[in-house]
Amino acid sequence: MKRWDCIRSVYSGIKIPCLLLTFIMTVALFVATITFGDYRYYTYSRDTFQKAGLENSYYVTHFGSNKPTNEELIQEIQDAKKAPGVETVLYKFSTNPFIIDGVGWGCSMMSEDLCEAFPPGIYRGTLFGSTGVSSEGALEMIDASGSFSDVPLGKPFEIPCSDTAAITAVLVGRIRYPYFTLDFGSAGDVTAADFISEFPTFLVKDTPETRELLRSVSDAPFNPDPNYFVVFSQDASQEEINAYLNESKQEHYILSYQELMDSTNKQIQQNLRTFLPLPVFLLFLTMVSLFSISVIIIYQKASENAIWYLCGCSRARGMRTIFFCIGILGVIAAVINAVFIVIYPILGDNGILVLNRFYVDGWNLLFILGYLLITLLIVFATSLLLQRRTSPLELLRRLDQ
Amino acid sequence: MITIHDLDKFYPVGNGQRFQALKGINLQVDQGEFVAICGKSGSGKSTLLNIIGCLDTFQSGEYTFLGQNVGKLTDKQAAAIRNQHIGFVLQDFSLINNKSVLFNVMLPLYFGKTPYNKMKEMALEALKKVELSSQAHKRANQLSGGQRQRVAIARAIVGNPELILADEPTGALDSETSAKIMELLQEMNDRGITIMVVTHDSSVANCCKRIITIKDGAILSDQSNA
Repeated sequence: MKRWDCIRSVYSGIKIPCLLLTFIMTVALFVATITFGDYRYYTYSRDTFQKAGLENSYYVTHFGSNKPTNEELIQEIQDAKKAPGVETVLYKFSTNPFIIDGVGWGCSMMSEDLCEAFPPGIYRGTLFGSTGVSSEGALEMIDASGSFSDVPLGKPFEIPCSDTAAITAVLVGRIRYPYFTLDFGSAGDVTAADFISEFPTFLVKDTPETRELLRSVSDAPFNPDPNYFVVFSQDASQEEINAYLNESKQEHYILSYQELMDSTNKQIQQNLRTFLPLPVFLLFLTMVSLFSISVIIIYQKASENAIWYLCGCSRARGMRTIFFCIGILGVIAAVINAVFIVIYPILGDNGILVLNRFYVDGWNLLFILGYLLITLLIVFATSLLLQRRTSPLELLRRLDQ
Repeated sequence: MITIHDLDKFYPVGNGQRFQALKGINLQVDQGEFVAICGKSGSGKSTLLNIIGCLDTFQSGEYTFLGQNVGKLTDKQAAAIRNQHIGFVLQDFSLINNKSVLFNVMLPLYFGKTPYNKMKEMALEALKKVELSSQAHKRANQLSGGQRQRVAIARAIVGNPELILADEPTGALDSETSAKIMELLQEMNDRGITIMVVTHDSSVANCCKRIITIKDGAILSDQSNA
């Protein structure tokens, strides 16, 4: 209580400027946090794509006016698999078999190759077994929505597929917020960010066994995403690659891995150029404001500090108190933003706040920590330099004069 | 209580030069004394008082206060001595003007070991001794000069110190108020508190039982004023 009274005494007469500064710092850091989260989304998607090992691949898309039927697309994919030099084709199917609380729920079908190239970000549980169906005959699923956190992993449960049918399923794993899943729906000059979807869904392994199980309870069709990756083997010759591309380009728009990465990096740079100046300006402004307030507080409270010294407060303690009173303003701003980052997944889960193309992880917290350290350094240096210039005794002499 | 032996104090004046403010001070003050330190402006009397009050340091010599060698104390230890054993009354009152009288009197207790729930009681008791209980909740800058100096005295005695150091306590007051302040200090001395007053006012010095005169940083005379 004693310390708290002393701290309150420092703030007397300057409460409003301090509150204002704290508010401005919080807002500035929030703007920077959002911008950083946006940046992290794009770099996360780029990193995810880079880890997929698709350097020898091409993204095959259809012209807008040339959309194939599902059967034609499936045939296309089968033909591509057989082309000389092709190691695999990465494609994705979806189906919409479930009805949960009156709402249709779908699942994304992940082939073995797709799981290998883009492993789901499991943070609880495991990936699928070899067939995607458990030994008890339950459909193995990964929760990519965050809506089924109360369903225990490994325990079979029933999911309705219609008024009369239900399927036995078992959650084998969960991915964490923001529940990024793959999406091959975008065409044209795409970037890595276009392959990420935040649509809540289940992940199911794409095998004959899982398809048979799903067909047994639902008529929902298996719809392929309209675009796919053709991955050539390391041994594929340039002639083989050119042969496929020359034929495919007649009906498709094709992007190489390098073109895709170039677009992605360009997009990241463009976003930085567009969105970075504002938060940088705001943060700079708050640093200058903090420095100014520090100077004002130190000078305004210097005579009071001298009286504290007279009454038996050591010089170090007086300086520490002033440092604390100023530094806490930055700490509050940092803590508010750090709490936001930590609870953002919960806010998103409950639909309270959903920011598109926004990604938070430990790097966001490090960014805030970096800001806090710089803030405290400014306050510490200002406090030390200004308070050491004049001793309490000199101030008492000046008061006396 | 206070023993000073061959004490010197220097101030740097730039270009590597230094000015000697105190020269070979030898002094002993016993518990319960009422001492005036007189001298012209710049003679070193305030410097001596600041050193006695552990507000300032010295370069050579020895100073013992209540058996403790002050020369070897850290800033924290010196602050503890000021807080627990010494009260200060200065010419400009040195109050926090925008805070209440009660807060000002409680201030030394914030830095000591007094339990928080006892502080207000002690402060009110000190205000009672200086007859200012009714002004406890007024702001310090709402009081007259004489009242403010009484608040300063209350602050000086709130922690029951053994020593009060007063530097020109009546310098900013009229003669009638000055007399009342000196009466108050006399009362404190009658209760056993040692008082040392720096003054250039002979009427104030005559209230004290011992007068030390300083000239050019050295003690010129040290006489009883019985």
